[in-house]
Amino acid sequence: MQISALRRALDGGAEPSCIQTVPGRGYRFALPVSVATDEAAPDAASVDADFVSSDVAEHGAGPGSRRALLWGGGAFAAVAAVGGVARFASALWNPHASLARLSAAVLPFAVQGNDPPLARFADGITETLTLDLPSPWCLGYFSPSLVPPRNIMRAAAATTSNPRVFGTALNVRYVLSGVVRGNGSVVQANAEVTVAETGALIWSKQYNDARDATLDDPTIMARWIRPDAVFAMLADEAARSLRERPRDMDEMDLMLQGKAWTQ
Amino acid sequence: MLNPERLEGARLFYERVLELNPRSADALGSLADTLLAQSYITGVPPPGGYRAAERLIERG
Repeated sequence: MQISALRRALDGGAEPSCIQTVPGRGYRFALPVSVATDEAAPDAASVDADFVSSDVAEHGAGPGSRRALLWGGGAFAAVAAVGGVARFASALWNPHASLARLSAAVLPFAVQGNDPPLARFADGITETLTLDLPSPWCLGYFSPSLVPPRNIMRAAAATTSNPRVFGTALNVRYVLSGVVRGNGSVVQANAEVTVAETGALIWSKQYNDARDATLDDPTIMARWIRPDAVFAMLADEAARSLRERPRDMDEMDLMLQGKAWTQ
Repeated sequence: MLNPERLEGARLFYERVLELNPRSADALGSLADTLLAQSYITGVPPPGGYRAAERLIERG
């Protein structure tokens, strides 16, 4: 009941809700947030409207959302005062409190230079990867609910082009990003996967194709990128589960190990 | 690169998944894939024959 009250206050009727339910795990705040410094980080009981409003101002959230978040902050502080939601508060304001395995987001591919057809091409790559990533033949095979909705990813991308900041704001473990450039008669796309938590680059690769052949159909290059990037994430996640739970692997860990061995 | 050792490693992991959850469609399908890939690479039919792999897919 408290969550629905928060949703009413924060969303203002917008869909999807900025508080997402993650089945079996809890809730996730799905709007860009800043990482507070140690001095500024509030504890659960001291979250107040000022903290929330300065956060929104810094990131330039969309029209109406500042007021909504002020209301939400007030509602949240009231709930916290009643008690019983300290853990939820921690998860809400600590982006890494509930990082899910294989959660990932696509940072829109950048374009080098002023080249409108290339910009449309980059948009097409981003769009294709964004649609494909949560699909059953990509990460959706393992975790269908762990790729943020497209509109949420776009909102976060409007605030930053830094993969680490972007991934932290969206509370995902991996960020797929890239740059597209023209090089004479060739189009190049450099794609990479970053671990949001550490900023570590775990994979990067350059893809080239003839400009004439590729500009009209960005899905072709996107689907060259897709399996390589997905495997990089699978392999990293499998290595992580070996490191963190070598003797206590659950079903998903074991599936990841199997996939990592057969790629 | 796929090779018999990697496929064998994957097979063991999928079998462990099925010990935890015998109805895991992901593991059943992946195990069948792996058995068929092992057979393709080594030229030896999977244990229990191709019908065994087919049964895994049916269960999945």
